[in-house]
Amino acid sequence: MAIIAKIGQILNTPIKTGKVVKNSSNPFDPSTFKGSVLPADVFVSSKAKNKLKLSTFVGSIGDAFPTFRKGIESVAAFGKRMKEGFSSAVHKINEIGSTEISINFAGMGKAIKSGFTSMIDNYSVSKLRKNDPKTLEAMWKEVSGLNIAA
Amino acid sequence: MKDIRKIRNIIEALCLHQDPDSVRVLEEMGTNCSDDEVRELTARALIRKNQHDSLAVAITNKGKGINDMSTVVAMSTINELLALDNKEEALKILTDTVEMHSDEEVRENARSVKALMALS
Repeated sequence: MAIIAKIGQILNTPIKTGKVVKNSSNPFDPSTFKGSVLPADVFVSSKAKNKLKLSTFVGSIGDAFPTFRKGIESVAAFGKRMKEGFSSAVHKINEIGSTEISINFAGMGKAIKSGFTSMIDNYSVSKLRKNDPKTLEAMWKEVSGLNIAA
Repeated sequence: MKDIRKIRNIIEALCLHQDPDSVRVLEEMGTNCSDDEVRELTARALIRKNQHDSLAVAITNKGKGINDMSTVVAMSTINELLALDNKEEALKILTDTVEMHSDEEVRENARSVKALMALS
């Protein structure tokens, strides 16, 4: 009850009206409405004003808060959705970055390396097979050096 | 040993070679090598060739193949024999070795391997 009385007291205090710049060219300019608030019940008689103000205020509390709560909830849900969307996007990017691209690069590098190695390697089995046993014997002697038992 | 990879590839190339001289090279260069790994690779290559001459080198010679002083080399050679798809020629040589070889130890080894091959 005390709160309601206080609210009433606040609402009863005269509304400040600011100076209106008469020579303003733009009627919607913020400076035009400096400190001035137009009451909603301008055309209601002064006796009914207080009642109307209170009822409007109380009504607005009942109406505004659920709406406001809904608004907060929807903002939170939106944020959550955005977060999820962003994290999934990041996850996808990471996935692409760490698997497909890196594997392709690694495979490509490996293929180039093995191709290059087989090109310059005279000791690959496929190349050695083309030599006759005597040549292979000579190559074996050259590679093993002193390891042949006399 | 300078490069075991190169020697392994040379042995593999000789194993795949159709020239009969490849067996001589493997025997002279590989089975007489002081390195256990080279002897093992050579003995396995001789078995994989699955020809009469190559199998005879790894079965009938003392100190080579199944008769190698190194247990690892001997066991690897026996494993290779057991893994052969066509064991006919190997069994024939083992039978001849058991019956006719002059060395008792070689005969005993051949008998044991033959028994293993019969079981496998």
